Amino acid sequence: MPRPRNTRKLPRRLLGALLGASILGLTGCASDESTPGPSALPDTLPPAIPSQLSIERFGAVRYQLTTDWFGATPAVDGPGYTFVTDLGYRVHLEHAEASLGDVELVPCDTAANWPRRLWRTLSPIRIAHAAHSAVPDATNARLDVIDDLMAQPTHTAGPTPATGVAYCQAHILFVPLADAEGLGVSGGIRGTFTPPDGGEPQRLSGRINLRNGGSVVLEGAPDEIIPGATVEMVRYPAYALDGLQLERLTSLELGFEFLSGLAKTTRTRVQPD
Amino acid sequence: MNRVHLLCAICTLSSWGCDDETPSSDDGPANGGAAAAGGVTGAGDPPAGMGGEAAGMGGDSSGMGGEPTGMVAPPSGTPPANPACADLWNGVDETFIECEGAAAVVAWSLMDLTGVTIDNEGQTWSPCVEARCTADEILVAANALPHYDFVPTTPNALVMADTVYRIPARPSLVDQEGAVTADSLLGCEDALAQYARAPNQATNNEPSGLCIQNGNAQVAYDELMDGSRFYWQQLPCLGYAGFLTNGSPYFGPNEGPMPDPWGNPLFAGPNVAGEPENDLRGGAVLDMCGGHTAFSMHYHGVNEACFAMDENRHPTASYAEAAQTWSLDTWLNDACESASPIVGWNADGYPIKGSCICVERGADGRCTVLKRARSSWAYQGLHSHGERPDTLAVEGNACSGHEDCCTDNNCDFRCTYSVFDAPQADGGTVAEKRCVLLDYAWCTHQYIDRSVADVADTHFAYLDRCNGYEGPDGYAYHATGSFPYIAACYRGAPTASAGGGMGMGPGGMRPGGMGRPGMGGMNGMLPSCEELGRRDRCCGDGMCRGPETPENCPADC
Repeated sequence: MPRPRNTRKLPRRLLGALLGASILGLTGCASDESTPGPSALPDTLPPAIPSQLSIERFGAVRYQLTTDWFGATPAVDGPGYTFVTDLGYRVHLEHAEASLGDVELVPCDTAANWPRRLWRTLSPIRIAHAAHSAVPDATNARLDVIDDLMAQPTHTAGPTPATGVAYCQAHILFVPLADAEGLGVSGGIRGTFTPPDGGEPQRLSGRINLRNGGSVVLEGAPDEIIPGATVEMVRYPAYALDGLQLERLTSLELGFEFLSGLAKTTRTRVQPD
Repeated sequence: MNRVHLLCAICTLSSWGCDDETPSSDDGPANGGAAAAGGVTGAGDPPAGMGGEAAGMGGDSSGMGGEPTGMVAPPSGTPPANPACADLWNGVDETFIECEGAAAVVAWSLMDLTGVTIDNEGQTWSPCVEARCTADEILVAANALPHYDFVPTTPNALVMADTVYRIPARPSLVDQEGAVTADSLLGCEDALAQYARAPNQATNNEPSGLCIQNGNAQVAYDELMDGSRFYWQQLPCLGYAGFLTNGSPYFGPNEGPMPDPWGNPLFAGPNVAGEPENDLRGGAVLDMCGGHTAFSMHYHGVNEACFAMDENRHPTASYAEAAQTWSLDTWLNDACESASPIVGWNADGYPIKGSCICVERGADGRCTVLKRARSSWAYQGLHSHGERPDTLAVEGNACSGHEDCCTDNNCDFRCTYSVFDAPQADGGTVAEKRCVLLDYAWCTHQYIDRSVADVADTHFAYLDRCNGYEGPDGYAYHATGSFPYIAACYRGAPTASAGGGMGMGPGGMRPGGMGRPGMGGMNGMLPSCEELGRRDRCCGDGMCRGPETPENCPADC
């Protein structure tokens, strides 16, 4: 069950984080107009800086989802982008897609808020299935679109009503949606890779049909209660394969790990109305 | 469990105990297994002479466990300790002995997760599960993490829930004293009335009375058509009911009051892995191994491929690969190729296995008749408890897709698989897709006595009310593709566990502090309605229903 993703990688990426942060100006990352950065510069994405979003009850929440190939360069010998993963794999992606299912805000009480979760775990008064799976917050919005990450379209969802609680995270869910043949696909990539120790490029093909997702912290929320907001969510495909030993993964595993990485490297930015 | 049964149970362990007559045709993904785990150094190797097979993962249960042809020595002794579990034993004041006999079967059936790490949204965590034995009990320490990377399909975070489960070393049948007839427990007309009145609002408590939410767990019995009497004890409605071989708990076959009132844990999910979800969403969807998060990771169903182990008890398949075998149709209707291995243990000490049963063995131990387990719980519909409201008009209708049951996405029905009563069919049931209600998992199903059903010409064997089967390998529960998915009740007496009381999930269980499931009242008396803050189905509401008996609630009974 464990998969070959190298998780001991954070320290060596701190320098890159600072560099990346300076490039982005800590603005929560770029929009869909951003041009791909030079592959030699960023070693990693800037660290996400958490904030707490408070919107008036029934205030409007909108979402804007974009893709940014920051960290990659346009391929010179064909379509797509090239980049180098943190483990040294040189990757050329010709195709990348992800099926956007749901997005929603995560109340701080549900999010990975350690003091609250610790209290909830220790509290003698507990309701077994409160905050149970798939009880969506009112801010839940459906997209149901197979997103061509190469084309970098912008997708919007909402408005949905805020419930008046404080939000700490946004959850993004990829779900299997019907492709042109009617088969379920939640994510896929296609291209080539060259291992860190060199050699001939090898084919890279991953496709998955399972749900996957992740919760990421909200960045840039103001300290005050606001009437409404747009939550910008930016995916960074060039970092979604970090930590993976690509030659060891089956197509299903590669597709699944790509979605995991895409969710984990998503960055958000709160734009008050 | 008598001696013969014990030996046979040992024989059907997934990884060792028997020579393999039908070796797996699939060795699993090349990158799976111990090599991918990193740092696995062979701790927990099975005892000498316990050779086995690497359980492959092909479709459903094929290739998992193998079919025994003969018996070899059972595992003995206590498996090597998992360092990640060390702190979990703090405060456990017991005298441990070597695990032998049936206790060793439990201990060696658990995954060896030493050195295994999982990814939890960027954090590296170490799941752990290990057993120690006393003279009377088997104690299993676990942190209730999955053995595969967390799949955050909902905003609910994964949490570590340090736990020490206890199961009896020698399972015993439930205490028959005070047992009531099963019919006296039913209260599903409340659910129907509530659904007719306000379908999105749940009854205050799980209405069937067939599981225990507050107060003492009730022992009940069925007078079966074969002349026997079957005693059973209520399963907790919410919270821990038993545990799986990865150390995570399993919960009973219902969700909480929302989003779907006391809903069915599997109906909201896909029928088969990869099914497009364009028209589907909502419900408490499980991952494709059968689990999801609330206060802790827990399972409502079992995809056997996810729990396959190699001879060193290491999990063999990645989530992405194992999940592909999710298929309710296969788990209900396909013929079996080999007997299913143990995937968990119920709180009463009996094993939980997959859906393929060896129902007959030859003198040499070879399985001569293999059958698919079929639940005796048939989908009868919520409407079966009274007058059918218009809102339940489609319930039970044949369907091929979601659109046959719903006109929009705001719909309480799914087109999915269950077992349906069909007197004209071989064996008396069919397992097929129909429009089923997401809500009230217990009340939409009904246990039908199949003790005299003629299944000689079928590929399946009926399970008892608890979803168990007494066969040549002894008694075991069997995970099924239809309700109750794992178990519906305890056939044996649970020695120690939580559950029963509202919200007693495994995260709250600490060593030494656990009582019998459902032990909520003082001196065996039910708490009053006032104490519980409830208006019905409690002691003092003027009606003798649910867990109430003359003994524990004379005011109402």
